[in-house]
Amino acid sequence: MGTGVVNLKIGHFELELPFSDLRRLSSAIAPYEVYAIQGVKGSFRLSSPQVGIALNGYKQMGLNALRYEAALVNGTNGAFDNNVEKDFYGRLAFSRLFDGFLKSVRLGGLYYKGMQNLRDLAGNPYPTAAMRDYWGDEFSINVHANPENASFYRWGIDASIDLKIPDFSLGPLPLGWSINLYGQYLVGHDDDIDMTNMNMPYFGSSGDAGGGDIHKSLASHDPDWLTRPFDYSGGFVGADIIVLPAKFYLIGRYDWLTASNQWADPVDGVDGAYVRPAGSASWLDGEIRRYNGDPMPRGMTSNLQANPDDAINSLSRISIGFRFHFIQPVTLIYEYSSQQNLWGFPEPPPLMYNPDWVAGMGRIVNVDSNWHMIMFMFAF
Amino acid sequence: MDKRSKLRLAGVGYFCLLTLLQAGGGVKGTVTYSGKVPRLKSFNMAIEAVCVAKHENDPENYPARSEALVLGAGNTMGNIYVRIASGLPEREWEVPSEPVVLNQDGCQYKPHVIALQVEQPIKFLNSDGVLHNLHTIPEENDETNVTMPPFLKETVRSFEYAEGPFPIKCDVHPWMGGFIAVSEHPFFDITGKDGKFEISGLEDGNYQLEFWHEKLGTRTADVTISGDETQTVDITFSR
Amino acid sequence: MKTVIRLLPVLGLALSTAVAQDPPAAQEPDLVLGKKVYLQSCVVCHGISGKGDGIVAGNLLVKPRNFTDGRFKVRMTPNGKVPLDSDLYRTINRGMGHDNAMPAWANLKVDEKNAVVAYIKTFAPKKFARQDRAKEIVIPPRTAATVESIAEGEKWFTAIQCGKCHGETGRGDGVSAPTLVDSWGYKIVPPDLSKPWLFIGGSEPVDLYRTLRTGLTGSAMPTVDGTLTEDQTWDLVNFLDYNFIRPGRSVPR
Repeated sequence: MGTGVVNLKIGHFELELPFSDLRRLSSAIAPYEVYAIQGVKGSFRLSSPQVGIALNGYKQMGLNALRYEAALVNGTNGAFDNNVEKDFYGRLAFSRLFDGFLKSVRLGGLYYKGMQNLRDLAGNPYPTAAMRDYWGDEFSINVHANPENASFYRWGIDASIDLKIPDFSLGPLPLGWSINLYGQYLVGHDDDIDMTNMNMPYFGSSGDAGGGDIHKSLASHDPDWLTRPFDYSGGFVGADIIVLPAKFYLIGRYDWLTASNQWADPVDGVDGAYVRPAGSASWLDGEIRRYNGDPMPRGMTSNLQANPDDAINSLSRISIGFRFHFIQPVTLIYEYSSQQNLWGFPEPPPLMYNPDWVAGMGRIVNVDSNWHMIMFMFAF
Repeated sequence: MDKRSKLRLAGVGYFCLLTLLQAGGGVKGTVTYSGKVPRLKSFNMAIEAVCVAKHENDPENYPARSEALVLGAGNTMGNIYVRIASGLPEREWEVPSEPVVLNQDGCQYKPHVIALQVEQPIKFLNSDGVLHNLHTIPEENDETNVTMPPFLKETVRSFEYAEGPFPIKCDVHPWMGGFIAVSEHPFFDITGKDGKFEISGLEDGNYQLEFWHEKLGTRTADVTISGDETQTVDITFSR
Repeated sequence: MKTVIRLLPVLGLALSTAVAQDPPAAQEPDLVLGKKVYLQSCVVCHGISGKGDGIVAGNLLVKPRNFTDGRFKVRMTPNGKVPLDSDLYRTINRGMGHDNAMPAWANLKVDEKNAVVAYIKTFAPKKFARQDRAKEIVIPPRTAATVESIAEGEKWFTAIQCGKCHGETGRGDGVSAPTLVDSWGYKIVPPDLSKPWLFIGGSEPVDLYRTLRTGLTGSAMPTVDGTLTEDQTWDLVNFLDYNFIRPGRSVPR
């Protein structure tokens, strides 16, 4: 972030987000959820570094200041996008300084518009060229990768307020709290986070499961891509409080995310069939297995087969903690987080086209999580 | 104003003062404290052996305690700065050439509260034979911070502007704290442990008396002087 | 060359007549520019009204200077006096050491620095009205750093008990170091004398001399004015220089 009116960035950089992941006082295990969310593995993530070119700047006019960034980028997660369509990121923020208790207010907005072909990125569970070769040579299955680009966008508004409580003493402790209150609201939409060939993950959905028949039926199947859009909105509000400068900080944050349109689409193109039907098969532990019904524990998603509206579709997390630099080299960090529902995001093994993982991906699951983190940091 | 005209004015002032002293009335009284007597914090002087020894030899004052509240028999209050806050004529007052003396003794300021006139010399003594620094933190006057090493037994300073009591501290010995008041006129006093004060040489008129305590703030009282009678004003600080 | 020399008196005459006819008006400080620079570069720490309470102030252990009561650390004026414009300019230009949030603003243009000096003075008009009475101290030529001078300086270092704060070995670990506070009650630390890059007033011999003679108003560092003579102060500077700041050099005899 330059202080000039016009600065040019070329290369691999983090987008100038309202609240950089790098400035977080809280720990790495409690990231800003709306920035970190990915529809599926390999898809776009706002907080990831991008490759591209950006113009940004900072223009001060007395107590007011304007900050902007406009970027053309093409690639995330350290990998290049495989399309030529460039993504656009824009950000504009206005800030004003005040005298007294209220120190400053900043209001801003961001917009990201992108195109991405999710289906052939390295390191994700979707069929890569190697996978296609493997399935084709070994089993004569014609695994397709959808060549179409999917578009997506994000927009958000943010605010940050700095306050300073006048100095006071608590016994021998001279205190003067500096408080930063901040909040972000973000809306995201992906046209299609899925590569699923309508029939691909569900071997033998006709009931004709197992053996070479499956292979034949799939090999002869024309790819008919299922489009699965993903919509979410959410944000975070938090406070960083400096109790003793360079010594003691308090951190508190609330994150929330609602996925209004997640994986609750009919599978196999059958209305009402939101989970895998009985008698389907999948690849697991090196062999094709038959399943009776939903491979995901029903409690995790609630019973989608009965009613997609019952699906659990929101998660929230509250994090509180402190950082205490109590003697020169030692910093003590403590943080407690309590999360209601997780983003289902299993890690796939490489080169494995496993419908189970695909099925478990990109939705909110009913698993709660609470954690304490205590960390001693030695920094000389 | 140059020094010579100041001197001349001082001379005139002195003459006036003499007349006043012969003819003036006065005000006296006692300051008392009411309320719970707090336990004052004691000082750990371990870093300065000389001062520890001085206090050990004086069992009555050992361990040395904060002088924020000094009470005599009957809860009379010491260290109260009493001054005429208003009602005095506009005039240049005579400045005594005799210095007031502030001693650094046993790592404490003696006296704890001292008052003097503008441009009146103040002599700082160092009877401890250790390093002190004279760090005054006034609002109007220049902040001064002067080294007072063991070999420097005294140094003389003065203040240019009148202002209410401001702190003096020693950075070497964090517990050392005192107050200096600079007055533009000679009508002030500081109570001793017996709580008594007396201000004399006042012309006829209505005056406002102000009593200052370092923690409890100020109290005021109005007094009317006529003839050469001495009025009595007693005041109570409570918390 | 000859022509130049011949022309010089003429030029001199021309200049002097110009001065005589049109005495240069005292240059009006450019407060508009000063304010602009202040709001751009200073305000985040020192605050809109100069009270040292900018947004960032709360994060800083060593607090930004409060400009409203005219107390400044690094000056050529005697203890307690307001600084000269050149003192403020110097501090802006050099910053206040490498462990302090005040950076060197040498990148500002000269007129910007002059303008911001003028603007800073408006925060304490009453104190800076006394500026004409604040005389610059005279720094006499340095006493040669001989073995004798250094020994003499060491004597003063011990006699004054500088070690009470700075530590007997100059490491900033004296018995009184943990309890030091500045005039506003904020905790401060005496610098390790062997780390001259931390010195807020600079670490050249002349800087040390100035710091010793004028003290650092607002901090715990007192002046030796009234305690040491000018020569004795130079002896002390020589000792500090050879013993802590640039040790290991051979001492001239």
